[in-house]
Amino acid sequence: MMPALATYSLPANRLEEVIDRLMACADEVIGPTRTPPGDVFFDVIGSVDDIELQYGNSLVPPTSVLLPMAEEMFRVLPGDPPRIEQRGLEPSRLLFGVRPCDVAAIQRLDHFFLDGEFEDDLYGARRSRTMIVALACSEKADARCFCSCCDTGPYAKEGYDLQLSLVDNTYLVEVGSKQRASGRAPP
Amino acid sequence: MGRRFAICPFCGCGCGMYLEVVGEQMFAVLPSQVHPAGAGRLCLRGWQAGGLIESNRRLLRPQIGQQDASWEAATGAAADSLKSVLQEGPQAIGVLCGGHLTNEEAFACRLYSTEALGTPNLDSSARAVDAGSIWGLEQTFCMPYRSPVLSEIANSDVILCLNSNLSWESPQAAGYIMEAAEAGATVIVIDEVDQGLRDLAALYVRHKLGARGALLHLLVESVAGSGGLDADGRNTLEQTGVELETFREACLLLRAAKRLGIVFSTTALQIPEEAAHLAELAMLREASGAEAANVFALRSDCNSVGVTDMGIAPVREGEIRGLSTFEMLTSEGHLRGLVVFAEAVEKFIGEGQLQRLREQLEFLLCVGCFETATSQLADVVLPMAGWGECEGTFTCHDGTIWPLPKVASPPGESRELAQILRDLSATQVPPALAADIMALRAQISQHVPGYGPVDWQQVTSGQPAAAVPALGNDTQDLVGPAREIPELAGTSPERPHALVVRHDEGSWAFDARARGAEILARELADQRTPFVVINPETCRQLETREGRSISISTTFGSEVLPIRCSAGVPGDVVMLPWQFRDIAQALAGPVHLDTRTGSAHHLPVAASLEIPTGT
Repeated sequence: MMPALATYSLPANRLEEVIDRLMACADEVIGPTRTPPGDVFFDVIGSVDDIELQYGNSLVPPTSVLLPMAEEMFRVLPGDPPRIEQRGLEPSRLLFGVRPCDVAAIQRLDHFFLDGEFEDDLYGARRSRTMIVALACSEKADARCFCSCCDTGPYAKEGYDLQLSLVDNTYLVEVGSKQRASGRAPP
Repeated sequence: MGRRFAICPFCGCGCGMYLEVVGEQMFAVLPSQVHPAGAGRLCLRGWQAGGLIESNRRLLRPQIGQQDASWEAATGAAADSLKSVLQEGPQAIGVLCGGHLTNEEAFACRLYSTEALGTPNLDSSARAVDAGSIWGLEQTFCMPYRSPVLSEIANSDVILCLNSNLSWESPQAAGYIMEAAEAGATVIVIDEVDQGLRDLAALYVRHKLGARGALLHLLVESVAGSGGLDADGRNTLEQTGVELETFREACLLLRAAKRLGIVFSTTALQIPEEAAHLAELAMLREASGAEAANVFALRSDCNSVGVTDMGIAPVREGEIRGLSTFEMLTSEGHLRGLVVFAEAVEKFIGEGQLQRLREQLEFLLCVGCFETATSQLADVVLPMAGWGECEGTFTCHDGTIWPLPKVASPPGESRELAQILRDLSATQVPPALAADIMALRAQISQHVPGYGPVDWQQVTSGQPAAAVPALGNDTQDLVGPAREIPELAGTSPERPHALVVRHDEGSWAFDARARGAEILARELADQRTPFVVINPETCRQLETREGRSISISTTFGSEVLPIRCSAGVPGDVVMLPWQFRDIAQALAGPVHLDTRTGSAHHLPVAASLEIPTGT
């Protein structure tokens, strides 16, 4: 377990202000949003009002942002000979409101795609430009939750850049990475 | 990547799902966690919904006489032929719609049928299956029937289930029964054969074939009274084949129910009186202080409720008496032309009788998505956009209206149904079909009872709205409880067995959608080859085994069919799946048609089993 680099307290009523400031740190902010029927998905948010903080688990985990079901790898442009156009630079992303179990899942993906002999460059490109703001569970999200059995919750011990834990009306803010502690955007 | 909310295109459970799309390519189906029908679950069919869009059995181009043609030529030929048939009067044409049309498509079909064609012969496949039991419920409740939300099944403490094969007919409902049983609910299964749910049942009540109505009537009387039976009642009970002790236990459980859930599939209950008894039972329990007594009549098709609400039903006003589905398909010589919207007629009458019907018809127009025996026999085929290829709405079992998105373009030259109807009617009396979908919805609000207050913008955004129509004016008195159990036709010592034609797990095998989605088509392939089901002990007595053939004879005819064995089928019963329509009619005779509702079923018949000579 990595100890938090710094901890702060944040009154719950000032969270929106902080989110607004975090939104300026990245090209895209992806957070839990509720569809009209009521399901929660991680989607690009336009404003702080789009974020759903009172959610248990999302229908699709936020790992799908880092490992989408389908992605464009490169383009073949017609010509003689045809040219291959590589993808441009990934946008910097802030993944907000990630549950600790999903933070653990992202760590497993990191291990699989980045720590071995072969690195997945597409995944790596996305991952290196993604900042994770975890949202610890203050209560059991779902009857089927099992994070305590795997030591992956209800709060994340590592793998986050920032973690928010609601205690009464105050968020405990833990800083998990030096780079993020400075408030800089991902590289 | 995009994500759109949709309702599953298959059974009447109407589970909510999300379609994950990239461009026009559908990548995944995800169950909605909050939708009240599925609550985060989908069945095998639901997970395969994307197969409908990518199907290789789609109709791609208009056809005249099975040859590809242009849209102009095909719609022109269809309009000319319909005009020619109409010269014999509007009664000469019938219109049959699929139960999975969207509300907007169904309303457009109604306008086309009643205004452009002027025919009263209009019906849907959904009504053909559901009408018997739904009519019985509505006559008893004296109000339009809307099922409670399916997830309510799980909150019951006693569940009375009328089909043991619900896990196939309506998988989500079976899932909720299992959930309730795990939580301690008492499950009572009443069925003539056992096809699965018996394992969950605290009490399994097996009755003789054809005795369900009498048994339900006795149950209502006993639950209403002191629980005892008079001499007449005991005599009837004996005829139902149910032991007195079993019957008493069922009565006690029902009387003790605090939250009673009565669950059945409409395919299984074609006789209105049987459904009426179940409604009476629910009302009795509510009147006796039960917290809740819900009747969950599980519909056959994904938009059974909506298509019926939109007025897809035979027109019956004064002297006018429109034909229902089975009347259209089986009444010889009445129809000269048939228009089929998104349905496979062979599902109801079999390919053999479809051939005979085709010979009788001057003109058959098939507007649909998939290749079927109907499309192969049609004079003109017009390919239409299917589920996920045009916007629309479904009205689910509980009366809530949900949106359907367009996530892909119709394949080939397929067009949206409303456009096809406009093209078709261009040379006829033009129906007042609105030019776009929002205008069409305004027409629905104006003309369909109960849909006036619907906020379509809200529905389109993904928030459901509710519609409760008024009860139709075609109400009739129910004939009354059938206490007498019909004799098996052709009973004799030479025919010691009873043949029952029954909707079983494969009833859906001939549905165009089941054949259109590749994985489902493969899964159901063995349900399209005819067979009969008998008890393994009967097999042993006949010195044969599963897989071999057996000759079945009734007063109507005889057939040789491969055997499948199931210990759930009683020793004296031979079960023939409903989907083998030609064989069913050869062995059990023509369907018994209820002229009040248009529902149809086969009565059980006496049968003999023999090993075919030469085997």
